Amino acid sequence: MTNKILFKYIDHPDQDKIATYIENGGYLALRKALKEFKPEELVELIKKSGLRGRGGAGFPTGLKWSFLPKNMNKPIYLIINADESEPGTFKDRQLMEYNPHQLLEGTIIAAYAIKCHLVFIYIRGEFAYCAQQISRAIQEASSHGFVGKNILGSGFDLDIHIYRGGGAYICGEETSLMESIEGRRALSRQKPPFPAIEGLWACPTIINNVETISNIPHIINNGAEWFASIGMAKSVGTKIYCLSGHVKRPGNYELPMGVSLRELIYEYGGGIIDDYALKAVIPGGSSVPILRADEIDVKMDFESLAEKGSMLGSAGVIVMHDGTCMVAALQKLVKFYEHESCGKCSPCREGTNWMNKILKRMLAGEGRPEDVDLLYDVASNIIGNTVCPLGDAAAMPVMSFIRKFRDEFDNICGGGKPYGTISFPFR
Amino acid sequence: MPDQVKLKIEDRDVTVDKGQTILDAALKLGIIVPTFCWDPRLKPIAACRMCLVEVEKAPKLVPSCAVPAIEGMVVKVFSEKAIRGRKAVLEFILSNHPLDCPTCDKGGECILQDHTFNHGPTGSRTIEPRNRTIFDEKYKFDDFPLGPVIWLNMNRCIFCFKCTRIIKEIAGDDDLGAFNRGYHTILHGHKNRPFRSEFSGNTVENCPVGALVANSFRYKVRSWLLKKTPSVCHLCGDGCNITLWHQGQKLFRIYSRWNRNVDNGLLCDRGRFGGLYADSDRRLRNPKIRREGKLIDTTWEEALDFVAGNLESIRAKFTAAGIGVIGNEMLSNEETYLLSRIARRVIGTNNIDFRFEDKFTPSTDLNLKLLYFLVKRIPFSKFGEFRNHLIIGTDTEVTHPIMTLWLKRAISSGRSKCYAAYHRKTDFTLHPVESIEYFPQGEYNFLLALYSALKGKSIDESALASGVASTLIQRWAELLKGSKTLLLAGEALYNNPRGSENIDLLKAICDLLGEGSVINIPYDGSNYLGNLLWGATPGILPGGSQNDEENRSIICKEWKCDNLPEAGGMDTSQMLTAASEGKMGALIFFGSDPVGFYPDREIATKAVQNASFKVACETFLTETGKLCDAVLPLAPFPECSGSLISSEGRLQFFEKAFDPAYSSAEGWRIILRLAQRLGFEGDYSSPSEIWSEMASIADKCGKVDYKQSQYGGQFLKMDFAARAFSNLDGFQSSPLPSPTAEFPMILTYGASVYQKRNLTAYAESMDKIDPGPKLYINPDNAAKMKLYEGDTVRVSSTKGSLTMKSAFDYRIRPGTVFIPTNFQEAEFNSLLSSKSDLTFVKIERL
Ligand SMILES: Cc1cc2nc3c(=O)[nH]c(=O)nc-3n(C[C@H](O)[C@H](O)[C@H](O)COP(=O)(O)O)c2cc1C
Ligand code: SF4
Ligand code: SF4
Ligand code: FES
Repeated sequence: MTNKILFKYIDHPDQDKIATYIENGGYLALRKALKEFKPEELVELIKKSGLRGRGGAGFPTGLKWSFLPKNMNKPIYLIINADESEPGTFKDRQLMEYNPHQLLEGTIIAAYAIKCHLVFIYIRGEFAYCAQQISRAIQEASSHGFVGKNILGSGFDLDIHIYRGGGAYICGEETSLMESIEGRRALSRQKPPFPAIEGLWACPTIINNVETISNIPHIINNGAEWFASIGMAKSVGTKIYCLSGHVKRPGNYELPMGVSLRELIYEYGGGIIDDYALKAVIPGGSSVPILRADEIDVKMDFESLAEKGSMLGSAGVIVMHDGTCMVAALQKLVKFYEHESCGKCSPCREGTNWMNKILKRMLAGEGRPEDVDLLYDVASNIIGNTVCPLGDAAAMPVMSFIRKFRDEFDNICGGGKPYGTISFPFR
Repeated sequence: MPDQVKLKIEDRDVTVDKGQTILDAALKLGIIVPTFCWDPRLKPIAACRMCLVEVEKAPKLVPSCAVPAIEGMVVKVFSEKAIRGRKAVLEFILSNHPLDCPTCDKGGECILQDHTFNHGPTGSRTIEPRNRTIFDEKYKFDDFPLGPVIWLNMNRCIFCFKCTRIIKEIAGDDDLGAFNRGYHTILHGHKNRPFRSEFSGNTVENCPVGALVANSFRYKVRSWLLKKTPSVCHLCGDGCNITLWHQGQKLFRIYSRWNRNVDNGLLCDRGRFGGLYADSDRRLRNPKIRREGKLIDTTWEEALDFVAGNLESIRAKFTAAGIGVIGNEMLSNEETYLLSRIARRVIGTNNIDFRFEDKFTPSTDLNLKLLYFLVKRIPFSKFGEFRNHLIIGTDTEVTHPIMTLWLKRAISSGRSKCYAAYHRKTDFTLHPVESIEYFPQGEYNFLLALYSALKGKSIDESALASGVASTLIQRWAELLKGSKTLLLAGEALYNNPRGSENIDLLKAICDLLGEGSVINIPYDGSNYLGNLLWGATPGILPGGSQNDEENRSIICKEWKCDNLPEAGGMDTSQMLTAASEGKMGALIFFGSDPVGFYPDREIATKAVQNASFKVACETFLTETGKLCDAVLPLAPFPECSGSLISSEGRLQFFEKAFDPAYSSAEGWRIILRLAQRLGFEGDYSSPSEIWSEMASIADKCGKVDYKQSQYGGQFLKMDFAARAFSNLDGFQSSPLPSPTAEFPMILTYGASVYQKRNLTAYAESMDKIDPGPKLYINPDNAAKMKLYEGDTVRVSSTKGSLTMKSAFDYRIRPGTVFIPTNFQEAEFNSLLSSKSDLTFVKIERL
């Protein structure tokens, strides 16, 4: 647990104040970036570092930046996605509350790299304290000349706006987020066009996650090679794992990419509560396929989890012990997606509702034996047919729960009692 | 070609423009991909997923309606994967659909039924209840009224969002929206505000399912039992193409007949729902004649003999010049022509007019000037080619709702900007439009100021006289200068005491603007232009030429007569004034109602009373008809055939859906039978026979080319000679009279966007759409008078006074009040006097 990067000063009191942040080496990267790099060189540097998006999809950040059209006469926007609402994920919140300047410094550098002069930080509605922290940090940074006109004499101008969401999960999806900023209901847009070509107000737009951007000052300070040397071959750097559920020590753990899931649960998390046995783990936020207890010898990085048929996602690790009823757990999850579907496309709007109805019926003891296959089929009909990945995110857990715990579903539909007593580790 | 892409769909090559979608390409090949949310007029949103197709190398199925075609793409519409995907989508859409088809008004013409039949699952796998929302127990089948004309059944909605997008993207209104999220989404208007955008009916027509239903069609009839007849809307000058849906002698609904050049498949509520006035059971059923002071029912024979006999004896007593004919602008070309022919040839008078709502109708000279502008008029579909649109003296949303949509489209495409000047703000100026509000009747001074500003001359005086800040006019001059501008001249410019000067100024302004600037005259009325061209004014003969020696001889040859009455003749104002002084023998009203609408009720009433004989031919008994000696029931448009010339200058024919109901008769037949009794020897068996006679006259006159023919109404070629426009040097600003201490406010009046006179109020549910007669007043003025919304007030002018409720409208210019004209019970014209240009009133709270 030595080489923490983002969380290095997380316990440091007053790290959220600019003076302390600067004392601890803050804003050096900004000076360096503005003085020593041309924007294009920065994009190259980030490409070389191998940094990948921490918002869920793991898309290479530098590559995303390089998709921006050259020589456009439209403005370019940068949006920081701080709408963190994936169940089981709570890393961005800590980054914003305890180290807002790290995010700001990264934001300013990123904006400089992509030649953007107006940034929106889209903060989840419920995160009032985060919004307060960021807003204060912006004020501090502008009084130091890090934000505003002619930053540090470089001739680069930048404004940063905070936009507070209304409290919908779908607003984290990048196209809905843009609709929301534009003042409409957050309904996802069909891609293409991709945001980098036609995003906010039909202008080229880059959207990055808080954790992704927070990494940038460190890459500038220590170099792309340094960053690329941490972690695995293709998933580099550290990752903040959000450990929750039936573990003794839940919380955020910053560890190099590729730490083993077993190690995370048993060493860092201190094992399962009340000395139950482990039953299952969702490794990357509620949207990804579940893993059984016998599958936890897996490295926590994009590639290794994909090999196991799951995903790293936002690295929200949800642990369930063997007192958990998988049908009840699944119903809770599906209810979330039913409630959060934006309602634009038919498969997701109707499918999540249908799945929820079937699951509720099962739990009420009214399941028919054919309902298990029906549920699986409904889920597989959603996948790939929707506008945005929320539909897939609702369907993938359903399919994986059934595949891995089919006996529980069959049992409940055959008139059996629900298994276990405790339903699911989150409300 | 670089702007084109080539792709393969179902193993067939197709080339489309860059930016077109896969669906466009498929349609080009005649391959039908099922859709719900796609509409060529709306931006694609790819919501329903019904149009999913497989694209080689793409990981997922793609929505063909939204994904652009790309060079080299290989698309499979009917691959197993694509079919499976669409079937899945359809199952989802059906999974919560109530399947109440037997009682659904959309049954039989429902896209969901069709798609399910063609592509859908054969059975249902849902066993859960299908109810989505229950609004209130008191409505049947969970439907509830969204507004006065539309009902919504949320259970049936499939969330294609066409309705909200039509209202937002096309109409530019914000009356209807989606609320909540996901499965719980509902559509609704604003809280406590009914949904009554004047384009709301389009949501019903375009809703793929039976979620939105028109009040007037709900639970009435199965759509497949109805016959369809192509027709043209008669309720404004746009000339939208419509289809009449009817059974027997009952008209059930009016839908668009989708003419890409005219209406683009859209109708306004006035046309769609108001047109159903024809179906009202309050129509006149039988001819009536006055016996012992009372109007009593009689037969056609008797009534026509009675009218003809009276006219004969009047002609003997007063000469033909003592007889006057007042038609109306909704008459078809054939009717107007025939009316003009019997007036001039059979009766022998030039006393004919079709305008009865205006105080200052244009003189013949002005009419000919206006006709000259038609030579270069612009079709709606080309509005987008103009950088600027300058609209003066009209509320286009009222006079031309669909033309306004073309303007909105030009604005929202980002290519055009609109500038609107009128004496009040309008619904249209709530859109991104620059607007100026001048004094009522301040057109002349405003135009003079704008002209002077463009010339770089001082405008202080004229701007002051028009009631507009001179900086604002200077700004407009700066913005308009040098750019290609379309000038739309509203009725307030030519129905104006200074009409002729106004048009001279407008012409001069047009010449000062950028190259290619054009003046268009959007005439208010479905056949205003046809009435002008077919001789329904004293000074213009059938065919569109001036009433002079030479032209009369051309017509004489056609009509096989020796002479026609010498030039001269009275327009409506002159006829009414003469009649009120007892100088007219007979007045013939053909669909006109001067007592109800002429802006001087006293004169109009006296005129009708004092004429020795008067006859009205109309669909509903009007205020004028009540005073007449004979009333003949006129069949409304669905029961007639003929042609109209829209204000765009498009000649369009309409067909009759069924024979006239009750004992009413088509206009041309009534005129013909009357003419025959007065000695006319000709005969026609159908409007098309009349038309062929007219075409030959038109040919001889050479003003309008009726020959070429094209789909969807012919855009007529016109050739009117230029008229002399005055030299403007002597034009001086002329301050308008100011309100007096006793009568401190200026009275303005006009039609409601939902209504055509009082006709449309006879249609089901249209009587409720307007909130009753009210006095509209600017809230600032009201506050000064300590007036609250809904207070009862007395409005008085020197002529009389009215009592009505007050309502606030901030669009009205301070210092003025507004009364809608379409409520007959309000008798708005009893406040007006034909002797004064402006009417001043005082308002007292009761
Ligand atoms: C339903 C849905 C919800 C999402 N929610 C979030 C979120 O809360 N925070 C976030 O950073 N990304 C979220 N994403 C991912 C974003 O769409 C986007 O990929 C990400 O912000 C890109 O940033 P990155 O490249 O830095 O990862 C969500 C995606 C989906 C489909
Ligand atoms: S998948 Fe769900 S959340 Fe995404 S666009 Fe469709 S309905 Fe909306
Ligand atoms: S009401 Fe009709 S038009 Fe509107 S979203 Fe529903 S199905 Fe579509
Ligand atoms: S028609 Fe293409 S998604 Fe609805």
